[in-house]
Amino acid sequence: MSETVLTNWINPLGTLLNAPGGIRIGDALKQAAANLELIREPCLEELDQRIGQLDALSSEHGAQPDDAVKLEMYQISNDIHAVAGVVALADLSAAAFSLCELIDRLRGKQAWNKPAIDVHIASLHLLRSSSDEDRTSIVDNLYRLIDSVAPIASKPDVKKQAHASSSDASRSA
Amino acid sequence: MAALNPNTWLNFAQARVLLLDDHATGSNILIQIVRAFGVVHFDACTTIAEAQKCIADKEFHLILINGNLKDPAVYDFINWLRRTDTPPNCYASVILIAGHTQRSNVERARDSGANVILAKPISPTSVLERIVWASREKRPYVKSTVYAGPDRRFKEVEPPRGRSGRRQNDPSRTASDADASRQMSGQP
Repeated sequence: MSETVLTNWINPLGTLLNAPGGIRIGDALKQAAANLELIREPCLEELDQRIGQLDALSSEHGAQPDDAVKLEMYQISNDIHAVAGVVALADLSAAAFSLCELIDRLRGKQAWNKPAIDVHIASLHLLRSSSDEDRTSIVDNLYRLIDSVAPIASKPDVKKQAHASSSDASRSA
Repeated sequence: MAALNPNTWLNFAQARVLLLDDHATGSNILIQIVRAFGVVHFDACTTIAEAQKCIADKEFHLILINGNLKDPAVYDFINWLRRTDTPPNCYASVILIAGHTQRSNVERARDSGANVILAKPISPTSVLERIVWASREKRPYVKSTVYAGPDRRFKEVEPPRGRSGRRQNDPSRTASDADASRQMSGQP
């Protein structure tokens, strides 16, 4: 049996945050929203650039890219997922999450499906450029697509994960 | 998680925060958020080596980490932090901010020793909720050969029936004790 040591630690963060002064939570959140608004344009530029990178990688490396390219595409999709959600492009964020899931499943199977990848990238373009489409159905169809081309035995609820608002998706380690 | 009361005051003026994110835009988003909260003492690192140097040089109360660092050693970094045995940093509140996590890394993220895992995309509200939650953290820290970090048990529960606890402060109850207790409380 391994030795386990328990240490009780008085968390100083709580003491610091409760010290007199500071900022009201309502004001802090308003200020944060204002700060994020200031970087909205650079965030949108990054999204366009990252989607362009996905386009280039997919077209340059053909039907069987090496694993480094697959990983790069996965990381780019993850960055799009993170940034799009912050600038209130929830459907774009969810579509990028779907692409992450597809790439992860395909890598796990040592496989690749360029048409399915390209459909995702085309959807990212569409969700970024148009507000008229039925955006929710685009994302729903992407989830169906990955379940069709890369099914897994114990299927996670990708839709639920992608739409998990940060307010209910955290879990303690 | 309890909703934040907009009229509650929080004081981040003396809090020291470490940000570890190699994605420039992601790091900028985090910086904008924590600055709005009133954080003035923060270090923004882009590599694990940089973060390790900061931790060796300064004290931190809160560490925010992008769980999708290009460097796959991000989970090892948290484990390293917990095993440095140099308070207060080894007990600092760690919030791991994770986007899509590869299947091969899900268990590593869970067992990394972070206090909280926050799902991307983040928002100011979600970040602040987790910071407040982490600031109220009272779980003891555990160190064993396989895990170092906050106790993963949230409730004070007795060991399984008929088994003694593995930890010093586990209630040492036998099966007969537990049975007697249930009979006294009228439980089946």
